[in-house]
Amino acid sequence: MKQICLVCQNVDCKSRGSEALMKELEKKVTDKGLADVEVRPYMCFGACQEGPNIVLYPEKSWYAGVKMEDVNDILDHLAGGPDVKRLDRIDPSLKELIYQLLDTGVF
Amino acid sequence: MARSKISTFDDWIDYFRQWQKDIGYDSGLLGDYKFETKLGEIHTPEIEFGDFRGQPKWQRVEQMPNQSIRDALLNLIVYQGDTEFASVEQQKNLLDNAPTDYDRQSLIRVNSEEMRHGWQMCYLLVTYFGDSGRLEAQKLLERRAFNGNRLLGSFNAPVNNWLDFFTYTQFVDRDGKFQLTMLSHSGFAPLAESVTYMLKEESFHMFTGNTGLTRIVRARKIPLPIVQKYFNKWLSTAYDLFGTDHSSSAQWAYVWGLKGRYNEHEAREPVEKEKLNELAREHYLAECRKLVDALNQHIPEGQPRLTIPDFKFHRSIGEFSGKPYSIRGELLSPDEYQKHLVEVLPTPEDERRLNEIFKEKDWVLQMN
Repeated sequence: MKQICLVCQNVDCKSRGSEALMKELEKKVTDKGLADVEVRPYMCFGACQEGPNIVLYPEKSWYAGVKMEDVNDILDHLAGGPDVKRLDRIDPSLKELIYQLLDTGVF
Repeated sequence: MARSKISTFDDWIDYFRQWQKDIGYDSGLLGDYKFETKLGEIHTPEIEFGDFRGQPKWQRVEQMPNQSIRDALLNLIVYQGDTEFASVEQQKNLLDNAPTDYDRQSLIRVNSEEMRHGWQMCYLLVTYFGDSGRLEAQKLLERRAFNGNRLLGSFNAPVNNWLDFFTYTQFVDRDGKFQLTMLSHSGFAPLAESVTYMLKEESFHMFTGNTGLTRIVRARKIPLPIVQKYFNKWLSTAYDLFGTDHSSSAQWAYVWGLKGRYNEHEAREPVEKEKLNELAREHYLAECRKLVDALNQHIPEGQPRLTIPDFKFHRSIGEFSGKPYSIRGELLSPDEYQKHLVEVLPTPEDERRLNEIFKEKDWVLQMN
C-alpha cells in the first residue's frame, strides 16, 4: 500500500522549518528509490506548538518536533524500519481526532 | 475590600461546578475529561527581559520587588482567565446544531480545554495571591458574556452560528495564542509553566477554525461576501485584544519581566517599549494574512477573494477607537461610515439567509 508522508505547512510549522524538511524528505525519498512513498504538504494537524509535525498515513504514525537530523530515521521507518519513538509525543486523544479527519478523506 | 466566598481551591472548584450549572452547560457532555492543573516547561529559569533580566524567575509573588509588579501580574492573569470562561458562555448554544458528530466532538474538546484554562488561571489566583486572588477567582465565575460584562469586547459579542464559531476559533483563539506566547516568557515561573501547557491545547482550537473555514469555502454554499462579513466582525474585535496603542501598562509589564514580545526568544532588534501592543498586533496581522491567502487558494477564478479588514476598522479602543475608517482603511464621513457598517458587518438578514443555508447539510464539507 502507498504510504503518504504528510508534512504540515501551516504558519507555525513553517516558522519552525517545515518547508525545508519537506524538501529534504522529497529529495531523499527519490534518492532512496522509495517508489511507494509520496511526500505531501498538509494544512495543519492541530498541534502547532509541537511542530513541525509529520504524519505517516495510512499507517498513522505521528512525529512531532521534527528536526533536520531526524529525517534519516523517518526515511528508515518509511523504508520498513522501526518507529522513531522519540518523536512520538502527541496526546493520544488528539491523534484520534486527527486520524478520524484523515480517514474521511476530506483533506 | 469585599471578602471572597472562597477560602481554598476546593471551594473554588465547587463554585466552578455551580458556574457550569448556572450557564446551562451539561457537564455530562465532558465524559471522563479530568479538570486538573497542568504545567509545562519554561523557556529558561532566569527572567528573560526587563529590569530584572538574568535573576531567577519568581516562584512566589512575595519574591517580587514591589506591590505594583504583583498587581500588574494579577491583572494579566485575571484578563486571561476571563476570556476562557467567556468563550464557553459564548459557544455553548452551538452544541445542539453541530453540522457533524466530528464538529460536536471538536466543540466539546474546545470548551473543555477553555474551562481547564480558566481553572488553571484560578489555581494561580487562589494559590498565590491571597485574599485579592480568591476574590478575583470568584469574580471570574460571576461575570457573563451574555450579560455583556466580560472584560474584553470580543468576549461579549454573540456567537450565533457555526460560521461565527469557525471564524472565532480561527481569529480570536489565535489572539489567545499570541497572548499566551507573550506570557510564556513571564518572570513569574508558575504563570510561564501554566501557559506553555495551555499553548499546546490552544493549537487544536485554531485548527478547528482553520479546517472549518476551509470546509466552508470548499463547499461553496455560503456566499463569500457573507463569510467576509464574519471576518470583518471578528477580526476587528480581535485587533482590540492587543490593547491600546502606546500602552504604558504593556511597557511596565515588559520592564518588570512579566510579559514579553511575541518573538521574544528570537528577536534581535532592540525592544520598542512604547509600541509593544502595536508590534504584537502587526505579527498577528501578518499571520492572519497568510491564513486567508491559503483559504483563497480554494476559491475558483473570478470569485471575490477573502481579505482581512484594515487594522483601523471598527475599533473600540486605542488611537482609532470610534473613528470612521472603512475595511480598506479609508477615512469616511460619519454618514458614509454608518452605511458602510451595514454593508460590511453581518446583518439580521444575513443571519436569516445563513439559517436557510444551514438547513441543508452541504454548507460545509461533511466529516462523517
